[in-house]
Amino acid sequence: MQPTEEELKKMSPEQLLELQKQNCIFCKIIAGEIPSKKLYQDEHCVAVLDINPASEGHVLLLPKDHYQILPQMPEEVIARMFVVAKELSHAILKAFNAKGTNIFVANGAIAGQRAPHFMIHVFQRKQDDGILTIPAKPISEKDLMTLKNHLLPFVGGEKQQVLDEKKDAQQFIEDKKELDAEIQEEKEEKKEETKQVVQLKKEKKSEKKKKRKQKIEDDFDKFDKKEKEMDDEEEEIEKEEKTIALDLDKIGDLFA
Amino acid sequence: MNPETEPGLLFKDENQIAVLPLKPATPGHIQLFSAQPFTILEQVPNAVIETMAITANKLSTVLFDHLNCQGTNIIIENGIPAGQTSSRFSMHIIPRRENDGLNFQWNPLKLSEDDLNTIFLRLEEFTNQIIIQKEKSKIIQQEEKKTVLEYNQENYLLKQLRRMP
Ligand SMILES: [Zn+2]
Repeated sequence: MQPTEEELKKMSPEQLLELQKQNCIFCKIIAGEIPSKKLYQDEHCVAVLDINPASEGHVLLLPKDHYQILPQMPEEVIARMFVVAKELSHAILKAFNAKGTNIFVANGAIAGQRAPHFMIHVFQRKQDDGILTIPAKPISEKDLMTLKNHLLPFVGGEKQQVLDEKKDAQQFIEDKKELDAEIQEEKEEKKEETKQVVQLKKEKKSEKKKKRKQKIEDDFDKFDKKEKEMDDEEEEIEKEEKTIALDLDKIGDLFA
Repeated sequence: MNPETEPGLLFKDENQIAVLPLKPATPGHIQLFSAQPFTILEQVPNAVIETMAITANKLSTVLFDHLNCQGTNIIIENGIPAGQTSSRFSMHIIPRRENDGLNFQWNPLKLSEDDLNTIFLRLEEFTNQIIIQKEKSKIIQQEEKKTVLEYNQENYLLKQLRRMP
């Protein structure tokens, strides 16, 4: 039975690990509860064929005990597993007459880890198969030195004059991230701006059109008005003329 | 290439040389070279692999703890088709962070059960040849016995079933 969310929250890390183990597909594969194509096993590890392979000849090497990531594992197991990975690589090269292999480890979901059980991938590579490329981005000498001086005390490197640049290295990474984000933002903004400019132009155009239309309409109105005024005036004049004519008739009558 | 003269040299001992490469995948990317000029993985003695694997794990932990990364990749590019660019064998330890622009996911091949079985049988043959098991695990022997037993039981059951009208 699966625990509720409430129960999960109350569990200790050990209990959580135990639960993870119980639900782990790879633990079941190792125990033989789920069928697999097992290639090798010893006291520390088990190798099975990946049934969703990156290439023809893709092996998953699993520690027999359930560990999520490499740093949790005893060094003895780590050492043995990498030696077995080497031998598996050799077997792949020979079996498929291959010219290359990758050994690949993802520690943590962010690194591409999909299952909670640690594993080493060993698979065949062919020229231009596009499966995996480690990008290479040049770094400035100053940034390289900052990182170097930051890491040196932790790797027990040769004693060097280590400046207090611990913060600087982290700052550098943050700055780089910020810079990348800013560049991205600028790009988006420019895109947005271009859109706005186009919209604005469109609006202006339609505004002008509207104005032009309005002007024509207005002119028509004015013309109509004027016409009407002229008509009215004419009528008035006609009336007046008639009155005058009538008056003249009356005057004529007087002289008659 | 000589990793010892790299400006990003972090440390060296008789087995290995750790370097910050000039063109990292992400800031903090460490390349761990063998101290001896081996080129491919198959040339590197097991004892050196063991040492380098333990160091790679330690470096991974250093990156977790001191460069605020949330994950690491450990990659060996063995051979030119696999991306190897240096003539010296090395392991890459790459710190991973959110939105770092890296993507190491591949698209799985669609293979039939038959294809997989062919690959398996071929690989199994070479795996058995190459991997020298110092002592064949007792568990394997037990499992083999168990499989035989299960197989016989199944046969027995099948026979029983067939006998039924
Ligand atoms: Zn597991």
